[in-house]
Amino acid sequence: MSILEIENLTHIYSKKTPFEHIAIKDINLNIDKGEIVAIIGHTGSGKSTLIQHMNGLFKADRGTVYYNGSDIWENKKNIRNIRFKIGLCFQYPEYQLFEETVYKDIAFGPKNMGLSEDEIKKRVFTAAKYMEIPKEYLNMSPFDLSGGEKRRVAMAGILAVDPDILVLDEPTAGLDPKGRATLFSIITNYQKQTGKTVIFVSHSMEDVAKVAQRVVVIANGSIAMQGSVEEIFSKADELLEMGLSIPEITKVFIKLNENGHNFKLVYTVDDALNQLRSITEVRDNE
Amino acid sequence: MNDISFGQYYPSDSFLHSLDPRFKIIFTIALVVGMFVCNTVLSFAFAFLVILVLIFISKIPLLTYLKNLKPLIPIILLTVILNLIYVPGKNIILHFWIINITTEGLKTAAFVTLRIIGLVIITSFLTYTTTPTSITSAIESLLKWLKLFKVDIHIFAMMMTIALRFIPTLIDEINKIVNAQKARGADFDSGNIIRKVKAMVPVLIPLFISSFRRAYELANAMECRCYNGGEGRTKLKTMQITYKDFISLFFVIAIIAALILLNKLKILGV
Repeated sequence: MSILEIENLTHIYSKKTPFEHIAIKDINLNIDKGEIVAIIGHTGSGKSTLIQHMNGLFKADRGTVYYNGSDIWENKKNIRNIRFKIGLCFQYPEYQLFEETVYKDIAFGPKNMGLSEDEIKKRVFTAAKYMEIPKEYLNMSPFDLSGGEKRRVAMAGILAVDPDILVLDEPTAGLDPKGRATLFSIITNYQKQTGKTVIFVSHSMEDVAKVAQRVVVIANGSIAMQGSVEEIFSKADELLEMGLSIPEITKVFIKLNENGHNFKLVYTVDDALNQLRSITEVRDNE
Repeated sequence: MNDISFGQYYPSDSFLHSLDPRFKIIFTIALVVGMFVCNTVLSFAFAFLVILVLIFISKIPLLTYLKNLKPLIPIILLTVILNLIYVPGKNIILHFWIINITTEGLKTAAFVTLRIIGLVIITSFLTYTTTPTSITSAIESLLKWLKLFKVDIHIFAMMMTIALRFIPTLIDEINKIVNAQKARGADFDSGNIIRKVKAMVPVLIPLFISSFRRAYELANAMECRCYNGGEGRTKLKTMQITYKDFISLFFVIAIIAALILLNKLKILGV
């Protein structure tokens, strides 16, 4: 059953002014429980607007968002509880840090939920463990940490709320390749251990190919296509037309096939390596 | 808060938009003075005729102007009531308890109301048809003579420009932080005043930190481009005085003269 269902969602900015602008129109999307879904799209295509509707930060002009089958705006007073169920982590979340210590900052969400001191402590420690934040950091000021560490602290602040769905807006923006790899392995581990639903926005096709189970492509405020990683990246021409791209390694393999080779198309470097290794193994055996 | 577009600039290609901002500032001051000159039914009628024509020329819907009047309704009501009660006069129309409403009171109340409405619309002409940055550079240009008194007007203009430039950025930033904290369950809407102020702390601290970061980055970026004050600095968009400005100047002088003349004429003594 879909845990999150979006129906005919339309959002217009600055209505009835000369700056009027349709951000998203008629979006229909189903997210299943336990899925890892990537949302890709050109800058300004409406991705961020879409995900801010998922936890009720925006209220759509038309259309409905259903969480576990019920409209999230059914009871306006309940919207805060919806936000605890659908954890949204913004781009550059380290800019939202404000507390004196890492511990207090991670505890902000659970505190807002009105949990007991013991429960808060438990949640902070679990979240810090998932995000691989060393225990001795908890008493430090978040502003003394490095950029990548700050981001992990900020994300721990979302995990501490223990949401059913984790929505991440470009979680690896501005990180170096190593930081990106660490963060994505943290996210996939978290998903594997908890079985929760993860939705993330990304500009890195490599990350999408490596992590996502399903890809949703947004162009000009509508869903242009959706499907598995293979289905989406096999339509390279269409993606390029939308100003998007395919993983670099896939480009290499397309070029190789154009030059007369007959490889199976791959989307991650690991798969490419495996394929090449199996070929050399066959040769070595011969 | 998502619909805040800073400043009131309303993009269009009208005659008013194409005037030189320095002239527009002077015209606005002249027309504001003109509004205070108005003292008779005829002069008010003429002033509002001019305003209607200008609204038409500006190619901006009348409703946009009226929106500006909405926050002033309480002030207008207050002045009307005070004028009705306190202006002394001989012709008593209504009398109850210790309150006398006179024709003189009625007249001042009506005139004051019209004057406020006129002033708001006249100043809207400037803010609707000129971008905040052109207004600042126009002020800088108009106040050049202050250099004689060793006031470096360029620095103030630059500060104003930067401040104006960063207001939308800061509003964006506030929205983002508010949403980020809301996503963690922050509650900004309920509770008493003390709780509401406390709820702003998670927004203000990140905002201050990022403002300082921005200021630092901007100062660096300006220095990298060899910024060293106003001496010998040229502008990308220079202000151009055209024949349109002189035509308008002629009309503005004519309007003010007409208002003064019309003040002398009275119909039925008002």
